Amino acid sequence: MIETLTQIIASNLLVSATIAAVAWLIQSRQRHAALAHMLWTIALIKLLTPPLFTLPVVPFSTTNLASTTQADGPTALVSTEALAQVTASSWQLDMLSIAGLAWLIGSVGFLFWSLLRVTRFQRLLQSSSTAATPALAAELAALCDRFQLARTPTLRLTNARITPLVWWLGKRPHIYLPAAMTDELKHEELRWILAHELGHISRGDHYVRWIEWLACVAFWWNPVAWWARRNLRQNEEICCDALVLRTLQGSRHSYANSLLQAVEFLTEQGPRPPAMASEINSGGFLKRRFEMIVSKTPLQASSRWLRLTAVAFAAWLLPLGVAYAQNPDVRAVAERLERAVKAGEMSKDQMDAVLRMLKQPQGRANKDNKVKKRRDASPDVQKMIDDTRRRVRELVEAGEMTRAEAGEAMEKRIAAIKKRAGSAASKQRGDKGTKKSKRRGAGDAMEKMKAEHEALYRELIEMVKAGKLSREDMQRKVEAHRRGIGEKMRGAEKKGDKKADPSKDMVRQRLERAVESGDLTEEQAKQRYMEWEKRSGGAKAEAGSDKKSQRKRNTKDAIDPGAMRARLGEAVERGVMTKEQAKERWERFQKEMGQEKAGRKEKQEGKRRRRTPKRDDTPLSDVPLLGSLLRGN
Amino acid sequence: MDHPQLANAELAVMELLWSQQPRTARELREQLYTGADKAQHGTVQRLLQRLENKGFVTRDRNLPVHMFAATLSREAYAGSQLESLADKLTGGSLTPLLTHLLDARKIPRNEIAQLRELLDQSREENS
Repeated sequence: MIETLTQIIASNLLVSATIAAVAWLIQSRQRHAALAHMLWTIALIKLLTPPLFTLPVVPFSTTNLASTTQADGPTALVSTEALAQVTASSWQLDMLSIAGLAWLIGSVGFLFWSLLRVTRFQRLLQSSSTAATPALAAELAALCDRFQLARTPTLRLTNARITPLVWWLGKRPHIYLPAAMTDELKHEELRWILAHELGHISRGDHYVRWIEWLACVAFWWNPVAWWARRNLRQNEEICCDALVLRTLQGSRHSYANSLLQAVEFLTEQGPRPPAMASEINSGGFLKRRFEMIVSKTPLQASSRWLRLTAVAFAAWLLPLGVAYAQNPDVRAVAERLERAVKAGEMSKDQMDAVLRMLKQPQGRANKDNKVKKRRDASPDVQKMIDDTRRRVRELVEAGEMTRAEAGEAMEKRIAAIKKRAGSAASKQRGDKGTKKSKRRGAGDAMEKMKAEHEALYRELIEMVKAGKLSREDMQRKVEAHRRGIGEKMRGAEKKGDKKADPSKDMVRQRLERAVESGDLTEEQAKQRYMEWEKRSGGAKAEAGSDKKSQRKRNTKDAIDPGAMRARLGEAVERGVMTKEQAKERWERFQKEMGQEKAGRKEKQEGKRRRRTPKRDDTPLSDVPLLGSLLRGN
Repeated sequence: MDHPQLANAELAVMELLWSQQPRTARELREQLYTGADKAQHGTVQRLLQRLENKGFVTRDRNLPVHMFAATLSREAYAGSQLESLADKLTGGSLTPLLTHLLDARKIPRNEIAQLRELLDQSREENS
């Protein structure tokens, strides 16, 4: 929501500023006041209209975001990175909300201030003015015919010495002339002044007042808005002068002289009307105006072709927006995904889904929202939240939970997911350093545990539904399992990668024992250890079978007690072992076998209980590789 | 035409006088505080005194009961307020941003002279 809004605002500012720059260039060539006026108006309107379609213009490099710290070990990395991330993002959020608040306060303040002024001005205009004399009213009606205006505006004479102006608050527009001016100026001069005001009305400039007012209320801090407003008015006056001269076909000098008379009248005491009025002398553009008026080739109406072009340009520009495009390195990701599929870590369908996701144009992603997206709005997080929501709904439908409980549970769950996604994101960023593979291993393990936990949760819910388990028991179990994971993770983090796997110590001990008992030479043991280390990349099941292979030269023989017995017998016969030694060895073997069996049993039971979800219905977030893939390395 | 702005109570008295004048202080009190006792009389007297001092009201002392009349029309007062409102806004008393909003500045005399010159020149050329 916020990032969309920021995006729209940034895009509008950019487009509007570009139009303003073009308008400025056109304006410097004096002959195109009408076109410049139109462009300035479009620049203001563009601030207010939302972009309906966007053009990606700035490819955004992911490397800009990567912040690598040289922290030693995963613990330090996670904590400092996460901390820095959290502080940075919350700081950004704070700044954003402070700026938003200031903006809002400014706009509301400006809105009320200007409305107050407008109402006061309106009241004073009304109470200080009287209807025009019949002679002036008749003159106005005649002029309206010349301008082909369907409705004659109301003409009133005000007591105050203010500039002649057009005032429109809906309904019929009003023209206000200072009563003193009608006394001081000649009839012909007054006629030109009235014609100028009618010119504004016929051009529809009183509507433009409202557009610029809205744009300035909404973007009071934007200099482009004020710049556009100022230039808009100046060009408006020039266009209006040209229109008056074209329409009335009178003497240009007479018109210029009338304007100058009005200016002189006003400088005796020249207060200004508020923003809603179209003034006769706004701008300070006067010299240029006079030059234009008295020049031998006065400004012509812009050609039909030019007007059509401008309208087409406006129609094309107004719904337009621009976006920062993000270019993920799709090829590199595809390679990594293929490797993952080969290794059986994900299905082909999942790979396709990820690639599709990446290939979609990421129009709305800019620097700011990218950080934020990683934190809470990423599609996988959304998916997790949706999953949870579905699950909770199921529970409510089954009558296991009240609605209130469900709501509470949902909130907790979503918070947990977001938190998790946040720490995962900071972890991902942390991975950028030199110790990539190791950390990824740790991340994978964590993801796996999470997946297990998830699966357990699902299974338990099913059991609750089937009535095999009470809800309290289920919660206790889930809680216990979660604690278990937490401890494991903490343990792993504390020990660091080298000691993360307790089985390593066991392997080493066994190998040592084997060397002692003469089953292996020291070199063989070393080699085996190296091999084992290579193989035990991360998967525990493999590590388990590795342990077995470490214990004896021949794995199958070692498992089979009969073969073991035969081998021991052989050893005694050959004189390699004494009988006592063989007996001892046998006993030890039996003991170990017993342990192994118990262990295996436990493991199988565990497996049955937590049965890891099938790959195909794993949410994308549970695919351990995805996180690192998205980083595109 | 430099008139100070009136307070609401003063304006209420002026509105009554603008609608019908001259009036006595008692009439004004009855209009302003319908059904009130004499306690309000002093208030009205004070208001009238203040308006007289500011030059908005004249007092006719020829009769035993003083008659009050407005010296300034409603339009004149509103006009002066309109001007001073505009003056206030151009005087720079508000923030630069809001002064800029008005794009307000008086046209200096020399600029007008320049414009006049320009006009005369062009007229000569034409003739």
